[in-house]
Amino acid sequence: MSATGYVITLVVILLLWFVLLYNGLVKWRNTVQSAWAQIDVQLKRRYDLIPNLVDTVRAYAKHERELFETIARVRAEALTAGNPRDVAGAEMRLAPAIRSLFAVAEAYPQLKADQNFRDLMEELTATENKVAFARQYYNDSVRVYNTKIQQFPAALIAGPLHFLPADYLEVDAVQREVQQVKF
Amino acid sequence: MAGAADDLHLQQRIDRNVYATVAWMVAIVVLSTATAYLLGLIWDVGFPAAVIGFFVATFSAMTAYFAGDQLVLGLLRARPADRAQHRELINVAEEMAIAAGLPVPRVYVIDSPASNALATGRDPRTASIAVTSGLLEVLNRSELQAVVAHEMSHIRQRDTLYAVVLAILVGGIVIMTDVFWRTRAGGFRGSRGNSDSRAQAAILVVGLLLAILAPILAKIIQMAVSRQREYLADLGGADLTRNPGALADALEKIAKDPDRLDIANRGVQHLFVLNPVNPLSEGEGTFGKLLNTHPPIHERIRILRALAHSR
Repeated sequence: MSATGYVITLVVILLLWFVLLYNGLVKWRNTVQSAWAQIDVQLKRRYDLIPNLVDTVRAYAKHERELFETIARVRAEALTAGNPRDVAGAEMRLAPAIRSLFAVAEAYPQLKADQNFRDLMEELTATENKVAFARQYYNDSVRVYNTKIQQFPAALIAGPLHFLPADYLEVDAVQREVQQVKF
Repeated sequence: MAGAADDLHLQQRIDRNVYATVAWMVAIVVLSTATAYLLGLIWDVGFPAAVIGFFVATFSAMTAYFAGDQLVLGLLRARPADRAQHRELINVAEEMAIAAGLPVPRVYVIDSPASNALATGRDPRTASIAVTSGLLEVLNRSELQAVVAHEMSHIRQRDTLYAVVLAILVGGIVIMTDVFWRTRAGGFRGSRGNSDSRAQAAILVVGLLLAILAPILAKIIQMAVSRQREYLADLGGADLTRNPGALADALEKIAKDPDRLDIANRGVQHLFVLNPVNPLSEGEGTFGKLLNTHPPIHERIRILRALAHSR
């Protein structure tokens, strides 16, 4: 093979290598993005469940009005929160409010026996878990993605091509606590 | 723990399962064609028999690949879980799908007092998880979650593809062996060649050996491989729930259960979270260990407990 032949072969190999590397990084950046979107989906699902739960509890525990109002207010705050910090703040207040709702239910045996209430409790537990697992999967994905863009030789092209490191989510104590609620 | 950060090894395990499945399908087609040819020689119809053998085996392999999961679920009389009745089970499956970043599998229930569970399907998009009604009764929510996570880990690693293709193809060999025994009996009566009777006898012996050895070999290899997969699925499941102790609790409860899943047979035993034929999986000696589809249950529990303590 002539010298030109060698050069062309080398260029083709390098190009193929670059395409594979680039596509690998794109795949993981998208994984991180969809993992982030999944957290939002599950949080919305939880906000949707709360009014149903409150209505069911209200049917049995009419005079807990103050608690219902608190929950409704905090939920509205969480729904309208624009930035992640506000969302986190509303979440911080929503979690104890929901916990008090669970505690109230303990005092009403009829409520605890209500099938609709039990179904809602299971749905709420599942949604809390889904939020937690969506966060866990997001962090898992971020770990893989960040490792990939920091490893040589990907590190050479990651910066210039805007593959920026993703931030980990703090697994906050509030989420974990809510998850521990058992029925 | 490794988590999805173990992506490289995960990809290797997926590749290994896909290659192993293809290798098995090719091996079965070659073996069946050769066996059919040798059997055919008895009646001087070697070539047509080989062609028939080839097409039957290819058809079986394709069936195993595309419909194996439905065949297995049908064999075990699994019925789709109902959201009103099995709310917790379906929720747990959705939770584990989110933790693994995979589509939600189809969820089935097998009506049986025995406690067991299995996953099947050729890839995560077509995957199914089935649990017995007995399992739903004895396990609490986090234990059920742990078992479903174990199954989700099998799905993630494509163990389900490998296992279901083996189940159908090994089942196929068993049926072929039965057919061989029947035709062999007929072959003795219908034997008309005198000059080449010695060659015929030799062919018969080879055919016999193949037909007897094939399922035994298939089983030994299948089981030697699937024990390692069980450990990996235990660890992978614990990684999804971040709760190794719950799976240890679940395994302890399932192992204590005296009820046996009698519709499960040796053709599908490797699909379950706990071997339904030999639940404790504590065989005697090297050969006994080799013939187990699952690692000893106490060893699995010990590893999970150690993991739980190290957290």
